[in-house]
Amino acid sequence: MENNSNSTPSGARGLTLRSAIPGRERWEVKALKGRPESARALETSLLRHPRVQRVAANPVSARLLVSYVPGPPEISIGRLIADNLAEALAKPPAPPNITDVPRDTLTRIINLSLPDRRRLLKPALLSMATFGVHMLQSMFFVSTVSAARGASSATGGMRRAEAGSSLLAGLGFSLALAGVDSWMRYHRRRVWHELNNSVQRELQERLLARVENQDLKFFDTQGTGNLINLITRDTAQVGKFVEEAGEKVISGGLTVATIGIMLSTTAPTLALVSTLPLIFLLLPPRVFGRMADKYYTRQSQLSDRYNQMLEENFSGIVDVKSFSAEEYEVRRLRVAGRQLGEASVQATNTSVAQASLAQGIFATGFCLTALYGGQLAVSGKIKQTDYMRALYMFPELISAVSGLDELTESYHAAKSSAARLSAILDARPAIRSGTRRLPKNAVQGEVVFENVTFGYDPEVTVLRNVSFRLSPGERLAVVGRTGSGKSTLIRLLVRFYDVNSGRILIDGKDIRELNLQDLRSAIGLVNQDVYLFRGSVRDNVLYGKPGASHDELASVMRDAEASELLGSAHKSEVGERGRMLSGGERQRVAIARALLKDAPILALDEVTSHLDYETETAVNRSVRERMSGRSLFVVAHRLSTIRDADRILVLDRGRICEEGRHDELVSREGIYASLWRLQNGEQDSGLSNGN
Amino acid sequence: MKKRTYLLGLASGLVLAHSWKFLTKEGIKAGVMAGRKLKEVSQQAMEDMEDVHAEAMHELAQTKKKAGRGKQ
Repeated sequence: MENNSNSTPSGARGLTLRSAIPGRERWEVKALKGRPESARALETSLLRHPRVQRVAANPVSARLLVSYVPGPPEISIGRLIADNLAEALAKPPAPPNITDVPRDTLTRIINLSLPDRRRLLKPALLSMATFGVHMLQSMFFVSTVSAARGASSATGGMRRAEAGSSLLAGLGFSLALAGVDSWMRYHRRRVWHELNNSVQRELQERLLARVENQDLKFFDTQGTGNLINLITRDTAQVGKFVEEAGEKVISGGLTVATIGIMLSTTAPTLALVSTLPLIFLLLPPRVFGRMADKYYTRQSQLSDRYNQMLEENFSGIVDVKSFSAEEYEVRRLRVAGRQLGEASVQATNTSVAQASLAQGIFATGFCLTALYGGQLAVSGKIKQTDYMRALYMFPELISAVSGLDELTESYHAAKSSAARLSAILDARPAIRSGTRRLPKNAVQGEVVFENVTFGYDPEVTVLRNVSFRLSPGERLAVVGRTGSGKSTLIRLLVRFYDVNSGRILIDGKDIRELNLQDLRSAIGLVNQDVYLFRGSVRDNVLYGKPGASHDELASVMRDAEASELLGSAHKSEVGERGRMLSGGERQRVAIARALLKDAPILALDEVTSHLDYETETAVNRSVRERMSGRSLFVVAHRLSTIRDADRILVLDRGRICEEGRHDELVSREGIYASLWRLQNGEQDSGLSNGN
Repeated sequence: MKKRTYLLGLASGLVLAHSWKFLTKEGIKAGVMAGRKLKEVSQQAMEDMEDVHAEAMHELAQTKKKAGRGKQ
């Protein structure tokens, strides 16, 4: 063993170097023993190091293999492990929430997805009919074979000819039945699959309706990847289970019952002996059930995390590239993908182990049937035809029971999905619509904040006792340093969040009592993070008023200084999130969209930050003219934007510290004056540099 | 002799009936522990083999490198 500069770092107890060659080291990390979550966490954190290429932590042997790009400069892997170990041990990922997913959760979700039970009738009837035809075919097969035996042992030309013709007739009928059987099987599969699709659709629609009506807090806590997984994968799992369960339970149940009755009437002892091992089938679900639930839940959670990471990666691809972080991202995704793969294998292994055990039990049953039945037939206790029927039917029985057993995997996956779906379907938004109506055309535009205190996190207060009044037709601007709570005022006004204390009134009515749709119709909002949907510029502007005429559209585009975008490019795609437009173009499209909404109150949150001075002035002028007589609430960083506002509020650490017109505030020598001087100075220096 | 065997059987039956749960539990525990230890030891042995193999390959590469330098 070649030992390089890496030695056990002082203070890092329980770290022993087992093997080292340049670029590869194996360490014994005692603390990892029996802690798979910490082992995974340590792998992930070590992989963040740019020179580390591969890490394999084994919680069974308590050893850690690290492959890295050797120096110079030399890196101390021991030190790296010691530095990351505390974090990995201290913050193991939360164990999957597997605590007793109630069985009725799945039933409830299936009931929700099948509001009209009559839809089950057609596939169920078709399954029964298919079973009938299949059984008939099987019986005929046995009879045909018996007839063949009869023909071979028949003596006399006449009897042999009769036996031969009955054999031919039997064969012909069997073939015809086989054709009908496969035709019916095809239709049975088709109708069950249609049911699967309708279950999925129903669940997706319910889920979408629930998710779309959630408040922003819900979206803050639920990741996009998780929601996409719920709507696509989890609904598919439930649909698949309904399809498989329906199909297999009906045909399997009928097969077991029919063959069971047939066997027990013709050869009761043989039936008893052959079905005896099937009792052991009751054991595997008890042993494997909880384990499978655990693994499927973990697989779902890891899949959510992986999707979330992918979504973030692709959305932030510009930043990934600008920081040359492609390799780091690939490594991060590789670790997450590997963990997801391992979880999937574990989940499938449990189901496969259960199915294999069941297969073993069936095989034992078959051997017993063959041996014991053969003995009974030889001793003349049962007829040879009955023995043959038992031998032919038993594989059918095995196949039916095995089909039922294969449902296990689908059942556990659906159960885990149902728990997740149920949690979302039960989630009630904290922001609920009030009952008071406020028609858009009746809104005067008065906004009052009364002692409003708010924090996104109850521990951190963002706004403290904020009070102000925006009179109808007034232009009110809010300025302040970053993080002072300016944008929060707008989010509270449109009830994305509710105040912790105090109240907000529109035309004297508490917004919590107002119908949410009326409230949001009364306010035209342009956010600082403009989001454009995939489609053309025209489509995006029409989002503000879907039925708007071309003249209305042209007018708002003119006011937003965006006419040229409507010209040649109005049919062109803006790309995902409007990436094909510049920041300024996106902002102008968003302003046009809000103007088209024609709301009595317009709230603009840093909407001209990407515009040049000339365009900004023109947009401001047009917006002012268009909004004349209506209330305008502007949040701005660039003070030049709001210089001519009727009133300016200066927010500092969540409190209003200054209030007045521009000239008054500049002469007051407070925060506003210092911000104004600072921005003027920047503008001056910018101009001088430019010159 | 027969009586003695009968009594012995009865006694052991009584002892077993009394402590079968404890014995079974201990048996299961011992089995699980042994299984775990076996898994640990076998994985360690496999990792040791991997390490020895990697070190041997590295030493071979080093010897080859040195020999190459010697010829030059």
